[in-house]
Amino acid sequence: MISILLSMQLAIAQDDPAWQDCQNDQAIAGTAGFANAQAGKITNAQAYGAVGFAESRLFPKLEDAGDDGWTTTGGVRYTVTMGATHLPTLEGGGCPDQLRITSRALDLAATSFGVVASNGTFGIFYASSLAYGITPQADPRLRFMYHGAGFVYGTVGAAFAPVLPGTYRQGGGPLSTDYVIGGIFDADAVVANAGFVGSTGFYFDVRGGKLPWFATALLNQLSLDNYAKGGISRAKSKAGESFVFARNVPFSALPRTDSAGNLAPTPDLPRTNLTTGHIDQRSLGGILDVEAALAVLPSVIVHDAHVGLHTNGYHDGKAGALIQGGIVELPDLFFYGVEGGRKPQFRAEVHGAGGEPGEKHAIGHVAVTMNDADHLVLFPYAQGAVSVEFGFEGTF
Amino acid sequence: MIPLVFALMGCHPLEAMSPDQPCVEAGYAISSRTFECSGDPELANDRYRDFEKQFACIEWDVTDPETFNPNSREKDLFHCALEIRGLSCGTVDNYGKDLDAYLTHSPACNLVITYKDGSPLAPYQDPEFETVPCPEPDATVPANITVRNVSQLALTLYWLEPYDCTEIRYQDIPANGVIEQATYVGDRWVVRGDGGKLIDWFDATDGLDVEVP
Repeated sequence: MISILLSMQLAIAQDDPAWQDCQNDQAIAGTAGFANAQAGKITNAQAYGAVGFAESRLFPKLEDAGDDGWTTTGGVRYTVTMGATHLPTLEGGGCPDQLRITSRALDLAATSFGVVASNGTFGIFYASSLAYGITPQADPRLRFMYHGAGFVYGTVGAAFAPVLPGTYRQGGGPLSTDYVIGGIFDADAVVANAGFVGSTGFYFDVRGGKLPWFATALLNQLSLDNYAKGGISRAKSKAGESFVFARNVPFSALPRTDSAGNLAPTPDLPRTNLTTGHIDQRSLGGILDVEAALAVLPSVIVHDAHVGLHTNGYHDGKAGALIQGGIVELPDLFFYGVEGGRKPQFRAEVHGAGGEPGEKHAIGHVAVTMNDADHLVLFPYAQGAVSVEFGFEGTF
Repeated sequence: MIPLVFALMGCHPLEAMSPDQPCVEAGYAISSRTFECSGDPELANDRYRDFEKQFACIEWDVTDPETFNPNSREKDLFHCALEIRGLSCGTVDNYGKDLDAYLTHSPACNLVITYKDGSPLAPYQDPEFETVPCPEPDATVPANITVRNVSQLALTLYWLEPYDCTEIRYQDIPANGVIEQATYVGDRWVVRGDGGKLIDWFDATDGLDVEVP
């Protein structure tokens, strides 16, 4: 059915050439969308860049692998958020009159890859990334092809990130590359990472190790500064796995960039905090997830409530699928041009896996989300945007 | 899953502009500057809500080719929001909750906003906007310039486009701050202060180091 709908959409595109001619766009400054686009590129480069990839994908995968001698984990990830914000633009060319001034989607994408090796106590890691933001071609087929090429060329660009001097930006420009290289010290209860990040300099992170508690914070990252998260993770019982944690996410004033896309020196951006408490119960009966979060600051609201159905062993690295739906709510953030309120959210995800979890194991994943709560707190203006992520990690 | 990804990626990336968007953007701009200058998110949200209560939006025919001309302050419907976002924190603090004051910085505010009862805003008073003579075109040799702001006020650097003599906003120059700008030899640059007051203008040469005011 979806394939038929896609064919119909492309057929419509072919029969209506006028809007496809809207290509000479000029973003209109002074608007919330213009400011959000600048901030979105910075946040995208940080959240989905080299450091974010290592922390969210490589380190957890390594910890799942066990302690038998040297273990190596590697992976690659591509993310794209379509319509992360909308830029008022002036269109040229053969654009129809009703689209001469449009609201044009901004797509944010990033490719990361990396490798980490550890003997259970000491380890080394490396990851690099390329992130970009574009207002895509009006023709949906070109938009799709662009992102396909973005994955291919983005991976090549990420590979050469350390030898591309002068491109280490925090995302203000259209392209930003980054890399992180460092070492790991794992004392079981506590794991410490230290290294060097191409864009920001020295990097240090301490987190809970194999115990079921965790605490993490991101420092020295302009738009994510003051991000903190801590609680109990993966506490297993007959009822499945439980997560109880608190999280603080900053909503800061938008950093300003000059015409070349470089960040203006605004070190102390004012911010407000979204502080939430989360209770997640996963794999009830082996297949049901129930997750909820209550925001206590800046106002008391039900921030996130959703249920998910998945195949057995889905959260344990086995092949399978998950489908999830619910609601998400943000407070009013008029300074971003965002009106709060409840929105529907969904996630569909498929895993393919090979090998045995905890030993030599590889997993590939494709996820499609809309209004995912974890995503919206990073990009509060991305309401209604669709994100696609795919990649794989392997332990060998 | 793959067809679903294809279908979603194929979504139409263009939407027609809402006819009241230029007006709404002015409200967002007031809220944004309030947050940036006060650090108070609730105050910033309240300012937007007050804007909605006090003012109404003039809806524009977005198909009219005369609706929007980014090279003219009188035809650039978004110029109102642009000017508000450029206000210094000193000005924002001064204006406080007097929302009318924010709307005096651009003739475009009168084009997109009225009071709630439909009555127009006060006529726009141009603060003695002083123009700069147009440069000769054809600047082709790259150059870099440095601009040092030795005053306590934030200033703004504009490039004077040679063909139609339009000033293009390039970057803010913070109080007591230094900026660098890539340009071409012979390009004409203009420095303005609050309300568009002319501070200085100069022609670029490679390595030019200018102190303003």
